[in-house]
Amino acid sequence: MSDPFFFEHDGTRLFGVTAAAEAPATGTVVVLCHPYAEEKQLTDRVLVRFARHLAAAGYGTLRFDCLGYGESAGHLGDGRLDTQVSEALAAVAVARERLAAARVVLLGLRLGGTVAALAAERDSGVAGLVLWSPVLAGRTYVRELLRKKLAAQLALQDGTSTREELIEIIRREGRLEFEGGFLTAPMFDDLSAIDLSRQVTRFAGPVQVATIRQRSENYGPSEMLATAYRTAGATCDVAIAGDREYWDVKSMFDGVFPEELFAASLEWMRGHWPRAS
Amino acid sequence: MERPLFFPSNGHRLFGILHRPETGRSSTAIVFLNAGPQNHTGPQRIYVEAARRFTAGGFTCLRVDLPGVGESEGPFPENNLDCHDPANVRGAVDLVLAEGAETVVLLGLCVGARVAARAALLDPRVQTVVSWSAPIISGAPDIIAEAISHAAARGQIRHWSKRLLQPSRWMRYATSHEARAEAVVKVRHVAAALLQRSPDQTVPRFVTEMGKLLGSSRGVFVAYGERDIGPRAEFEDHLGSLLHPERPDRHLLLVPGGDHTYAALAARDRVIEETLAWLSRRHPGGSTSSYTAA
Repeated sequence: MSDPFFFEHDGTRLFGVTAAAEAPATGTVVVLCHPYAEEKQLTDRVLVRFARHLAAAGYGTLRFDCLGYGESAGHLGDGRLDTQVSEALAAVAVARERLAAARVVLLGLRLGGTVAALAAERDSGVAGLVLWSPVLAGRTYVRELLRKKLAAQLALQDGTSTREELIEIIRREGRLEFEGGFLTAPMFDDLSAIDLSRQVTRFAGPVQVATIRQRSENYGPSEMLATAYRTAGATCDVAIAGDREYWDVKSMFDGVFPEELFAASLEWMRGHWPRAS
Repeated sequence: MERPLFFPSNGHRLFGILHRPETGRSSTAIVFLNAGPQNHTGPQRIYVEAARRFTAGGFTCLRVDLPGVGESEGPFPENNLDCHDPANVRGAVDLVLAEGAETVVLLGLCVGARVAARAALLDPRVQTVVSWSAPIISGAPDIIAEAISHAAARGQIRHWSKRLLQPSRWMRYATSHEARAEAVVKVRHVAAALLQRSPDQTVPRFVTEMGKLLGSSRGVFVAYGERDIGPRAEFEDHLGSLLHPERPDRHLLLVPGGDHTYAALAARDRVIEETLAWLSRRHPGGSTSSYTAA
């Protein structure tokens, strides 16, 4: 049974939904971090369904909305990458308190995966990490965002722009209208600077990095990230699921769920934090 | 004040976010219905933005997750224009009436507009429908794009004819593979629709239902983005004559620069502000409540 609520962090009202584990519980709570901008709406069904799978398997869950997302206060563009990391850590604290968690695992999807990984670098109490197609290289990711913006302009039959012109707008005006809000210059710089395999140096718990076969260009970077975690002392498994991309508009309308990914992550969770026998 | 809650409806346990104005209860409540499989926040959070502004204007709002969407349980909705059962809206109407509203408005975008219209026909307690970007026959482009209607194809031809003389258009097609690919798909759909032997001879069910709604005593606010070519053309062809411009309880808004989901911020602001202004005229009691907070 899910329990929606608001909580305060740094003077901001954030929204969360907890679900208690079904008995017998594992004592482990998973905090789920959502992707950037409209990908959050496009993957809402995925995180909701996986949270239900987790609860049925004995794991409590907390999903939450960052500043400017969902039911939380503010607008897209009010926060930065560091704000989201700080909010993820606040959500971990809320999960510990509300669900009396013995341990907390962070799970993140796309930019949420990056946020989860960066949060775990700061909180030694995080027990594990599940990273679904995290943003590994900021330069590639911002190119993807700008391509989406150009595609949206094309669909709207707005004035023709190039990627360089969009970057020029961000530099000149400090922000670019993007998916119902703004991609601000500071956030653009934060995202551009992501180089996740160089940024993980401390976390030493178990990590699962999962990608999908359709995104085969991520295999190399995912392995680099796994190597970085292993160097830091963590155990890291890379999972490649056969699911099709599940964070675009079409996959949402078609009701695509990454069931292979769900199964791989649940099995991995059970291997590390099983139900008490 | 915003409050998350669950409530019963037609045998389901549904989730919603209830917004109440700072002054307490309002006599008019606006119920937001899901745009297909998109949760209670709406595409690009348009429902959150609209509900917050409507509440600041004195209205109560309830943003609902119908079965299978967002926080509500049930099978995920199928990809079709009538994926939501209008009977499931009844519990939301019960809820806002129990919260003190006397007048109920149903609001939806895209598929949400269709379920709003159909639910209003089933429930005499609904006085007003706000219909944003209702698809009349065809699906929204790029979403349910297997087929488009004859009317939508003609609308697309009219739209293209204005742009054929613009060199920037041709430059775009010459330089962008994505633009060419998109154009090929659209040309195929338009050609297929225009080459049908018996185009649109049977009146689709939703045309009849929307016609009934427009013929009733309920208030109806209809909005389309000016660039939402297919649905707009279908509405104008099949239902435009029923709007009766002399009736103040009917309104058609064409949003400059608006697409199907009013993705541009200026378009989003325009559709929200014009809707709020119209609702405030139609339901002035909504913003000057005779109720006090419980």
